[in-house]
Amino acid sequence: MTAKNKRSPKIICISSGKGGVGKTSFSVNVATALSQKGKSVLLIDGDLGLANVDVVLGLNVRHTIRETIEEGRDLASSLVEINPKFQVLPASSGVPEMANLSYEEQAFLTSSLEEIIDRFDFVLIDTAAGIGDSVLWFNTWSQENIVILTPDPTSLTDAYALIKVLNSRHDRKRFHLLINSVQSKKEGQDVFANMSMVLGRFLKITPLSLGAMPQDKSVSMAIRQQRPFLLGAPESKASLEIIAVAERIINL
Amino acid sequence: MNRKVPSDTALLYRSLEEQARQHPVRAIRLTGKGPEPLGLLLIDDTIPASEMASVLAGLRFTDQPRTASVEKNDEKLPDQAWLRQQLAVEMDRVRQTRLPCALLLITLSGASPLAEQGARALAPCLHPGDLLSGFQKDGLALIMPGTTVGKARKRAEEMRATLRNTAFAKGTGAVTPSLSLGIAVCHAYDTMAAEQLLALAEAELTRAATMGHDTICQNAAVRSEDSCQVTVEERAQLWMQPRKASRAAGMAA
Repeated sequence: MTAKNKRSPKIICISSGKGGVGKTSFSVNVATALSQKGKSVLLIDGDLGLANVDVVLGLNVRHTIRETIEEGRDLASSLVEINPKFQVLPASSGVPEMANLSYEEQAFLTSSLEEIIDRFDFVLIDTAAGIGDSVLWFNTWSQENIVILTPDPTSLTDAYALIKVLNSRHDRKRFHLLINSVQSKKEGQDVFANMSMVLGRFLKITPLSLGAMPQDKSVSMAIRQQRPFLLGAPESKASLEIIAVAERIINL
Repeated sequence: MNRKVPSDTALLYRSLEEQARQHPVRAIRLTGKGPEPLGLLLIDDTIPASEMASVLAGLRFTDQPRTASVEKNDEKLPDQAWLRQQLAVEMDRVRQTRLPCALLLITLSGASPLAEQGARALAPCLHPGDLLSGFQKDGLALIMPGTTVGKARKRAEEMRATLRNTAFAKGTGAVTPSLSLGIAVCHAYDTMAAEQLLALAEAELTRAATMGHDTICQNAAVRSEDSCQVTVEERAQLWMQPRKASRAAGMAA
């Protein structure tokens, strides 16, 4: 077989445990920031049954991952170009079957994804909330795991539970924490320090800090306008932080 | 056309798939609604994915490179050499898909015909993608792709119950064989060679045989559903006061 000179994209999974902590907004904006820095990015909507990336970006998608799995349609034909350096692979919404893929379907999705990811520098996967099979599998398939959490006790607990499952059942050890919706830099530092202490004490894990996103009105406004806040409010605190986070991701 | 599929067709496909691994081609099983594969498509590896998907869509088949291996009543079980070949294929797939693969070995005390009867009894328990073969002289081996230790254990328990309720015929009489079941699982984070997985499963089978009483042994602890549950101690630490204090400070600012 002829050896292909393949590029190796950095595959990064973005999960949270709890829903509604800003995973999709973060994913879309960090992908936008990476593309602005000249990196080619593929953002995969890993919430296969209740997709949201297309909603956050205001896209009208014709084809999704579902057509690939159910009809054998070429995955590349479902890609949506946001800008020349940023493409999205949308998923379907309201399709419970897609949230529980069989082994065959997962294996097929793997080989289909491997056909298209080589052309990118970064592949980001915005997973569903929870600790379902597809969430765990996307996290296992990725090279790096980002876990998003907010200072709320429910979010802390769910993020911790996700890390615990990934560590104990899938032997994942390297986690990047992104604290979202903090009211001050110190709050972000405290949340990270506390989570870091608990992870170290009970799971012997030393997480890495990816940053803390401040609460910012421009974020919720951008979501309503269905566009990245990085474009709608490039000077906002959230935008400045997402640019810094993108820089850290480049250096992972 | 009323054509009977020869009993060794499935083996032919497997053999071709095995050979295809040595060449720059991709082997794709074409499956329909029935248990038998409709055919095997060998396609050049250099064909772009889009073109291949288009061809498959035109045929109205999805790319399903594997299918269930439910043996028919009159079929002879594949042998251990075939098992080793399939295990090698599956170990490659674990590396590619990052999904686990379990191997279950079952011995039924008594002569070899019991294994054939056992295989037929287990047919309703098999899932699509399972690969069943003979193992040693009186045993069965079942490869369960995509299966974790916990799920493998549950399925082994189901199969043990099925075999216990099966009336095995030997000569003119009936026998109740004693069972031993050994499970080994290969995970993506700890991939291994096919021989290694087989050896692990054999060790578990030996352990189960020593224990008697139709025991099931596996090479890793079965983690119950709540084994990852966040404990009271962990919660208490997660919800520590300094965070609340810092939030209050942030709000005041």
